[in-house]
Amino acid sequence: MFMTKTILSNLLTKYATRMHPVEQRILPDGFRGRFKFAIDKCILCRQCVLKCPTKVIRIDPEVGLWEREVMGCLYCGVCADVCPTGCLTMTNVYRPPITEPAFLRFNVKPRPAKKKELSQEGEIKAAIEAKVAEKVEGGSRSGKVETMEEDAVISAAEAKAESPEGKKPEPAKKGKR
Amino acid sequence: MARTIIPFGPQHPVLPEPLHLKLTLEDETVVEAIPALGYIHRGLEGLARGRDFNQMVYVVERVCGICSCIHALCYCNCIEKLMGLDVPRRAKYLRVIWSELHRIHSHLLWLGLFADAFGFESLFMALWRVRERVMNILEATAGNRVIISVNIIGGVRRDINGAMLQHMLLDLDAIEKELKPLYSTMMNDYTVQKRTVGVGVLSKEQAYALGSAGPVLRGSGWAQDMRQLKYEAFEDLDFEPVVEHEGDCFARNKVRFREVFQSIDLVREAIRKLPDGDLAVKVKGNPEGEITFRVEQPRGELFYYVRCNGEKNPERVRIRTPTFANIPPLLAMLPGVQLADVPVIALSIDPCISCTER
Ligand code: SF4
Ligand code: SF4
Repeated sequence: MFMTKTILSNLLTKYATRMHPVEQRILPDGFRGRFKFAIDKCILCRQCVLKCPTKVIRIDPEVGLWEREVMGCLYCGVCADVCPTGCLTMTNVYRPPITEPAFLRFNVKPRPAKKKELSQEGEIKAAIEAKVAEKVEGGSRSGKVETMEEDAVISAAEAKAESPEGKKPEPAKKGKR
Repeated sequence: MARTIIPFGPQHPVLPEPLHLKLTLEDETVVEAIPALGYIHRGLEGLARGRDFNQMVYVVERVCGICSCIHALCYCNCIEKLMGLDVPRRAKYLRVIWSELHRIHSHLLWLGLFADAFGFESLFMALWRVRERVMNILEATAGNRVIISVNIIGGVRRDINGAMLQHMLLDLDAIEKELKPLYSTMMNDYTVQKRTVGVGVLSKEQAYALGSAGPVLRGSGWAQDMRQLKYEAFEDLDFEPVVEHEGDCFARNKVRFREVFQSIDLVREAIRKLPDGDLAVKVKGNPEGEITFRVEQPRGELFYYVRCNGEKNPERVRIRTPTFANIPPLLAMLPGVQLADVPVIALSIDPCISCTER
């Protein structure tokens, strides 16, 4: 008896599931999704580095490097909460999974500090900066340089270290579909 | 009759997690069961020395996915007590709301898996369909579905606004309405009774002597629930532990289903009484001293021991989880049962092995 009722009510109601790729889920506003960076505002204060529970953010104030190992990030949102200038914010955009370790790098205006000799390390960093600048122009969806989506600049670190000139290392992730 | 040894798990269709039991059988009857644990040890307790006490909240949340909020709650309470922080009342209520929502979704998950374990797949689907509504509430209020990361030392990170609270109340009504027929199926259906009534009986004395916890203990007639300790906002809420007396799989099942309704009522009451105020207090300095704290997880009593020596990193964090307490009772239930009943009995303690091994 109960079964008949259930069958009838199931026939008359909609599916509980969604035709996923066709029908996208609307995520709530408070969802902790993909990061949005306004990295020009970064003052390299190290708050995010100190508070991150997985210690995946690295900052080099001398060359102005802000780096996150994307795979280690929990999307806990602590860095966005503690950032005093609001250059890290979380959007409610779904974050697709990645399959390989990748680094997200930005170059920020370096803090005035003691000058360092330009070593081979410096050259690599210059290469990174060039790469980042190129990516920013190509990958920013809003067209603005200072705001970009997270995975626009992800690329493998080693690939760059090995090929400082010319060769284009494959970015680990393409921009949003 | 010759004895056979059959390994049950760690990979078994019925088990959500790698529990390994070595079953000695005589014909089809279990004579002895020996557990083997250690398949997913991650060393999270050791990680405490490498993280400061604020960062550790996110580590303990990952001890167990399904009751992450309650792990964080227990740990935060330890540190707050050590530092003498006075958590705002609104934060206490919000913590209760989130932890009870966690209990609802954990119990619904388990009820679904349990239905699946005795082969009632449509009930499994129906229960998980309801669970999805709870996950949506969690996602909308806390930002994530499972590991919600809302607790911080000194309070909570997020607020729930009035409109959202009204929305939650409507959702809870809908959840309750959808669960009522499923409850009557679970309680009255012939198939369910055939597979669970009188199976895996744990007597009242055994339950106490073997130190079981949570629904296993309450299913055997003991009215013990850590929420009776009145932590957080439970001091202001009406709370009576749910107790059943039979001690079999059916009783444990019933305890959990009734607890779902109880948690729905608790969330409603907490929303009704939710006071205004701050969300968190400022934390200054480092904790010092040692402390223990107990809370009620969906699976039973969760126990934390934290020792700090005035530095940023806690010196020792010791976690005792309810599944660990429930494994000896499981071993006491198994001798004498048929092999076909082993999955149902093993699942009836709601094993959370990643909790147990940390
Ligand atoms: S969101 Fe990621 S990077 Fe930011 S604090 Fe959390 S783990 Fe660290
Ligand atoms: S991202 Fe924000 S918190 Fe991190 S260094 Fe820059 S300004 Fe500071």
